[in-house]
Amino acid sequence: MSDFLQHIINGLSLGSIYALIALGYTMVYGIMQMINFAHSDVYMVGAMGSYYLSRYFGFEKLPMGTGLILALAGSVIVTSVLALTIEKLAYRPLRRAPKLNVLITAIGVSLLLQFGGQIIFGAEPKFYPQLIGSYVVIDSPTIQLRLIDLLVLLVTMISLLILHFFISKTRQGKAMRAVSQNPHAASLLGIGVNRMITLTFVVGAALAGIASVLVSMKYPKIDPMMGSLMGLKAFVAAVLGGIGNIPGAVLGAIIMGLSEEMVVAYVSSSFRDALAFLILILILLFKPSGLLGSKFVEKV
Amino acid sequence: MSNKLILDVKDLSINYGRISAVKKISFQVFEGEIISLVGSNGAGKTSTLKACSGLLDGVKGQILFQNQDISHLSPEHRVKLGMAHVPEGRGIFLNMSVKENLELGAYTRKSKSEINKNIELNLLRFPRLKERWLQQAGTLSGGEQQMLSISRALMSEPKLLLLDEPSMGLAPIIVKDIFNMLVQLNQQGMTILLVEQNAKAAMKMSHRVYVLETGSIVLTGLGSELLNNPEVQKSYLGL
Repeated sequence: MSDFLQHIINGLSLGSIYALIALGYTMVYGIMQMINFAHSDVYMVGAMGSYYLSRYFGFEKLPMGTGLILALAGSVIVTSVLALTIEKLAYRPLRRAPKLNVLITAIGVSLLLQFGGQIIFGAEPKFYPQLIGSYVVIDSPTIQLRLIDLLVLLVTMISLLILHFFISKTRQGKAMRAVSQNPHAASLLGIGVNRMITLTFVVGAALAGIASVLVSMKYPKIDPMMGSLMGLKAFVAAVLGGIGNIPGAVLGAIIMGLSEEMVVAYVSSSFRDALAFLILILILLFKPSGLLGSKFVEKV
Repeated sequence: MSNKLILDVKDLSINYGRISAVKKISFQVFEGEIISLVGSNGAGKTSTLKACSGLLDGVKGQILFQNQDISHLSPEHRVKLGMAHVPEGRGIFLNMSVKENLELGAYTRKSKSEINKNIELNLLRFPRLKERWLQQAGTLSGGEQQMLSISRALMSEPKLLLLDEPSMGLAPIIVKDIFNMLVQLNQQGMTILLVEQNAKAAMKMSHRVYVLETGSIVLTGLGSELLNNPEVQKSYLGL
């Protein structure tokens, strides 16, 4: 039983990370009906960018917390700028092209970042700097709460609250939702559809940038291929929750994180990665629209 | 009614690939008028309206709004100049509340107090929307959605209101309400360009009517004139 509580903590921590990445998939899908395969590689570049910044400026030597905050900020800036560039150069020229063209382009961008990353960053794994040390907050015989897991939960929570406030309360956030529901109607109200699409990419990338720092602190070995499996699982989480649905992505991610942890704990760790695909197959069979898939049908 | 042109469409042609939907049509809307484009399915009415608000590619010809050439402006830009378009099928944001839908209608405007004043005005016009204020728009009936769509368009304080088939899919009694409301709006000074399949209702309420057939204007005249024209009665009014 005591183990169980520990697994819950680990599962939530893992699920939070999936959530941060899954949101990027789901938001972009919601606004463009496109699966941005390059998202996981933007996440990788975030980790690499903050790695170099930390090494160059010595973030790990800074007093507690500051290094982490700077790394988070650095990663968010790197991923945002990268997403902005990709959107402008690769996706925007295809705005009126068939959806398949955009999808294939996304795969191309993904490969470019992965293998370009191997050339620029090198293929061998790097060791991410220890920004907060390996403190343990609660250390009882039954349960151990590491500072990093607590931070993952906390940072995710704060990010989700900010995101929620942004999309439900601000003018730009509402406009973003409007574009994702009906781009034509939105443009008839004076909302710049292209601007909102760019904004969506940037917000999704910023969340992935946050996730990349958290993951790199949890699992400090980073390499240019680190995005692919993480991205795939986050994508499954988004599909599980109902792709295009923001609360759904968070719900799907938490379920994914918890179930992965439980499978490793109580079945076998060799099923860790297989589980994601099992879940994917099951949703596609029984509820293709996901747990919180779309509600309203257009009235004619 | 004044003699001031608000919308001047010159030689408008619209092509979808090789198919030509609208062929060199010209028409004018003067300030204070209700103008209708009527015609059967596929006559090019919706395409014409969409071209006016900038939603289409492959548009040739010139569109002047208050003497300014807007042919190459984005839809957003045209809204800022004072055009509002109530799209076919209403284009309501179904997963958002009535309140949010209306607020988005005022996206181009900055002053909070003016926006609130305009919301008040719209709720007076459509008390039903007040009852549904925080409800998701997807739960509204078709008629309520149409009212929401119109009041959302009015939130941008337009000088010209474009409406695409506001009667579509609605019960006759509700259609009557909506048309009455449009006439009222016009009496308060709003210029209206209406696209309608319901030719009779459109002719009754309009000052002038353009009849479209397979992409060309085949007939034009005062609404009341066309209503009594035997030719029109036979082909368009089913009398």
